[in-house]
Amino acid sequence: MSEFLQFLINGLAVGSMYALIALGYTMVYGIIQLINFAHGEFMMMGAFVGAFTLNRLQGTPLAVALVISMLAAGLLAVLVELVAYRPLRRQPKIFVLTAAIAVSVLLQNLGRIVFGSSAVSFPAQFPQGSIGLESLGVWVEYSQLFVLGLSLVLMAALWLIVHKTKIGAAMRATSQDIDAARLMGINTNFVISFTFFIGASLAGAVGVFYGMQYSVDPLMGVQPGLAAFVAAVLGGIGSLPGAMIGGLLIGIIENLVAGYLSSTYQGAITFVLLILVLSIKPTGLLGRMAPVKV
Amino acid sequence: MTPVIEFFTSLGSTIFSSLDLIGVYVILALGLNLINGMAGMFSIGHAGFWAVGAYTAAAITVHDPLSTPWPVTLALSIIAAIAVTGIAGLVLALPCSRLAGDYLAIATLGFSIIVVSLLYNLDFVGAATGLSTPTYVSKGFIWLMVALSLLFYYRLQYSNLGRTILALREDEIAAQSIGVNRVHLKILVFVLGAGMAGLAGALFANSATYINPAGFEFDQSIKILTMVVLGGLGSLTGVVLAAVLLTLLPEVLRLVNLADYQMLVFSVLLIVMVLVRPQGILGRKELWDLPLLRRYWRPSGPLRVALRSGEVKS
Repeated sequence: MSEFLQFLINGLAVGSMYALIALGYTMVYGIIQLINFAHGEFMMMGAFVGAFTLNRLQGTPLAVALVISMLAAGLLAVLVELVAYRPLRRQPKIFVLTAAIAVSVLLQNLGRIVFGSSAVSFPAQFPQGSIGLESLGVWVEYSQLFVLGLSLVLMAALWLIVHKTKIGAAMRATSQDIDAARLMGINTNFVISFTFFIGASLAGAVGVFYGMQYSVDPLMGVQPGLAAFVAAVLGGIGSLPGAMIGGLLIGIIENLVAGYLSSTYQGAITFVLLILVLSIKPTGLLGRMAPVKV
Repeated sequence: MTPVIEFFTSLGSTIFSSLDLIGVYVILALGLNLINGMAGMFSIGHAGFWAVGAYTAAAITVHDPLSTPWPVTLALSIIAAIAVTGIAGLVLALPCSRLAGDYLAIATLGFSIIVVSLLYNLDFVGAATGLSTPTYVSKGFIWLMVALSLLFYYRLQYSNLGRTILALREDEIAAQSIGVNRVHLKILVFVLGAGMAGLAGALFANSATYINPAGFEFDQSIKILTMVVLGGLGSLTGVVLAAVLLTLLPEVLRLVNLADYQMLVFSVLLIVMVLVRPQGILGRKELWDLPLLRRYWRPSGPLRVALRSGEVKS
């Protein structure tokens, strides 16, 4: 039982990071129906920017480095959307998907050339140690609490932006019907850029969390990016609460599989899950079926 | 002058020694073009099918379970590679065939990642170290297979079936309304494309001295995708041309010591093509559209007229 609880806690900590990345996928998909394959790379860039800020400018508070990483990842996403996705918006979808994959490969290789292919260690910033819950026999590391707490704060901030601000209302309108939103005087291009910015800055924050716990390298965005994508689909792509629930579920399932079966097939299990979801309920847990317009 | 001459002689020998690899990539690109170009689906895990084909063939030629003479073993390995890869395509296509393009992309990506991660862990095919394979096939045999694949693709493109596939690509709803079975057709195309990758895998395994899982990573899928996009989704001539050029590109980069940048070059090429010339280097032009050839070589049919007049957009 205590073993199970431990896996559950570890899963929640990883899952909260997946959830943050999944939010970016789901927001972008909700607004322009594009799977942004380069999303995991925004996280990688955020991690590198964070690591370099902390390494080069000794004594930078973690909070400042986190904000810089989020800004950098967000601005990169705005640039990518402007250069590679926007000109293709009226083209068949296959072209913009191709562009997204190409951007992902391009960023990985740029990362490799600029930062080198060896892993960069992140200056440890989390307080080390853990809290033991003796009666249950489980350990919660400080870093896990920290990640979980910050993720919840960021998700709450996102909820406030989407539901309580003017730009949030514009985002919701644009995702419902982009043409109607434009007719109502919403600057949809700005809304799309803003969505990319918010989504990628969440991914940049995850990059910092991830880098602190593991290490920073140009391919670090691939695995969490894919897991988060599966999370977004599981939750119902386009749905914000769905992405959060999906992220937590994927994190927990991955940890249970790695703990009880084998960590070798962790990645494969994620995809088996994806295929299962797509065959049984393609709209995910909280997604709605979009009618095909003729 | 000498460095220039040296460059060109080494380029010439590189081209000659790459002929078998070029053939393999032409078949791979044709298979992916069937799926992405002709049918308008979006697969980005073609290297996964290639790997299934190559490892199936290699497992047969290396372990030789029936102890047959080598030509029989070779034939068996090719047939088995095509069959197993086709079945893999079927298994993947069944749950995915009802899905829109983007989900299929992720599913195929996931498939290729699963295949490679399995290969890294399967001991009887050498796990991470890979397999040393006998070299049973010559360049001539590979190009014979290339010719057969081209003929197959060409005949398919202008057949009744090929036109039905094109109709489905152009407008799913309209095609369905005149009785085209969307799901069956998509599964069929997927199996055919996968089967061609299986053939390419068998040829690769039987011509290279050595195969390992690292040779089938996602980068390879990107290379094949770049060939199809550069060639123009749907143009047979363009795809063959692009496959030849892009197989040579890494070799040329290696000659000028820029091998580290090959994926950078591929990804930039992909973005620039999609942005600037999404119809590919040749657009919808084919070899038989050349003024000299057009008179004698005309794959006739009403669809061709429609395509040329530009009424049908992709």
